[in-house]
Amino acid sequence: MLQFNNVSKRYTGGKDALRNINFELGRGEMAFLTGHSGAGKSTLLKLIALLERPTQGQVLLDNQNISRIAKRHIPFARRKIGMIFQDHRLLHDRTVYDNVSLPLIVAGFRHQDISRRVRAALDKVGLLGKEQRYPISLSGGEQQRVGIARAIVSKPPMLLADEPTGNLDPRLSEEIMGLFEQFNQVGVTVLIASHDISLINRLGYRTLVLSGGQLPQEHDYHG
Amino acid sequence: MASRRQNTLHSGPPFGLTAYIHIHLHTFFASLGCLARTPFNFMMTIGVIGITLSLPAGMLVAIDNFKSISGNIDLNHNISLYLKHHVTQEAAEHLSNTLKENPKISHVRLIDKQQALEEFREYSGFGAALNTLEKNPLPHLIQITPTDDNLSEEAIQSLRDELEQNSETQNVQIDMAWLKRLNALLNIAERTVSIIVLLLGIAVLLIVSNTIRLELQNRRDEIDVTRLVGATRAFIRRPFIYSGFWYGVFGGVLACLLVTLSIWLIDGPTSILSKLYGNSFQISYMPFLSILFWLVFAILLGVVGSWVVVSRHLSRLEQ
Repeated sequence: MLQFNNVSKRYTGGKDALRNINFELGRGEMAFLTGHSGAGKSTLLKLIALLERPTQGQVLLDNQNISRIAKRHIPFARRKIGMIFQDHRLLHDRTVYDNVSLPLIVAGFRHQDISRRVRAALDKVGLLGKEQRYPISLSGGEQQRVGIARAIVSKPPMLLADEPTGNLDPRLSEEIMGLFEQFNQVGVTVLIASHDISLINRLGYRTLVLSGGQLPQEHDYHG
Repeated sequence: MASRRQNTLHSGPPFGLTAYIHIHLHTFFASLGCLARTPFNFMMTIGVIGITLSLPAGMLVAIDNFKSISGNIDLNHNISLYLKHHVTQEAAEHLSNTLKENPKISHVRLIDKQQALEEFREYSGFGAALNTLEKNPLPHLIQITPTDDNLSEEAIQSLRDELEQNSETQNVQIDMAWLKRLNALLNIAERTVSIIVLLLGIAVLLIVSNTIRLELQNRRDEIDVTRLVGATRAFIRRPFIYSGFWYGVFGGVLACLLVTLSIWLIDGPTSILSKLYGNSFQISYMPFLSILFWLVFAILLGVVGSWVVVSRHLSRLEQ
């Protein structure tokens, strides 16, 4: 599903953010990405989300080399990924329904389909009945679940989460991770960047550890 | 349904015209709703656009009206021949009969002193004052219409020279001269208004651009999030283009309303003035075509202004 071949990223100014990264994530696989601040986690996620382009190497998403695609194709490549952020990135002047429906509107779905899919997505994250609420009136955990509903509403083959539990207490974090596991069980590829080593260890999935822009070791808790 | 999840890659949205029209309709009304959420800002921008465009639009209507005044006046190239004071009634009649024989002249009309005084008394409102005059201060006047093949400027000039040779002639006046000057003035005015249209058009373009630029800043988060969920450039641009469109529509309508209102305010006094001149002149409002022109012009400015700003902004984001 996702493949990095000798990927390096150097920002203008000479700093090497990533050096010679190689890894592959199979279809339907779930993995964690961890490492200290400044280890290159954000850069790696940005390369997948096409917010940055690699200086060297190839990033393959769904067998497509996304590191070299034309600008006008970027939006369509992004639609294959559902993204979840630490700060939720919700639009606060819009209802939960409008926030979650955004990817569908962007892709040009019809009203009936949008309504059905938004309800299904909200149901999955346990927020059915809160469609007309505004994000500000929801708790942090609920806001994050709105963010997750938005990421899965268009049923992308891959989910990408950047510190999704960063602001949540352990119990809520566990709930959120439980959601990711559910999506993974129905075939979605999931990559989660996280600091929460104890949670990662407890869950026991494959873990990519970035250090100084490199990927020297890989822990496979699956055994 | 179970296969749907496996099939995620292919369970895409509907493509084609329906989806396209759907997206457009959605944005069309959503952008209007968005503007309505900040009615004060919306009104201010529309006010500026409307007033800015009403200036040249109003000037063009004024020029059209002046043109119709000058067009109303019979362009029959009359020559007015004023006779000297001492010339008697008989001499004037004799002269007018002689002129009738002239092959260059098709029509001669003598307005003698007495007749002129009666007309003046009737229309000027100075009747009582005129009664106190001992002598009639007006001269005899002979109105001359040249024949059709003597209507060229040179022919009229030579006829004028000929008439000035006459010993009884005080003054020869060609009526179309002032008309030509008026038309020349109107041409200058029209050219001036064209320049003003251009300048104020640019002003509206800048107003719209600046307004959209502020809107882009206010909706920065929205743009970022929309890009992240896979919006194309066209999708992000669309609501702003429609905002520009709505600014154009409402600005254009306001401009036309302002001009119409102004004409309505001027209409009353004008018809009084026109009656005083014994003229049936009716001030004309904006014709349908010119309303259409200003609407299209305003919409064009709105759309182009927002297009330029949004495209620039998106290009910067994509670097």
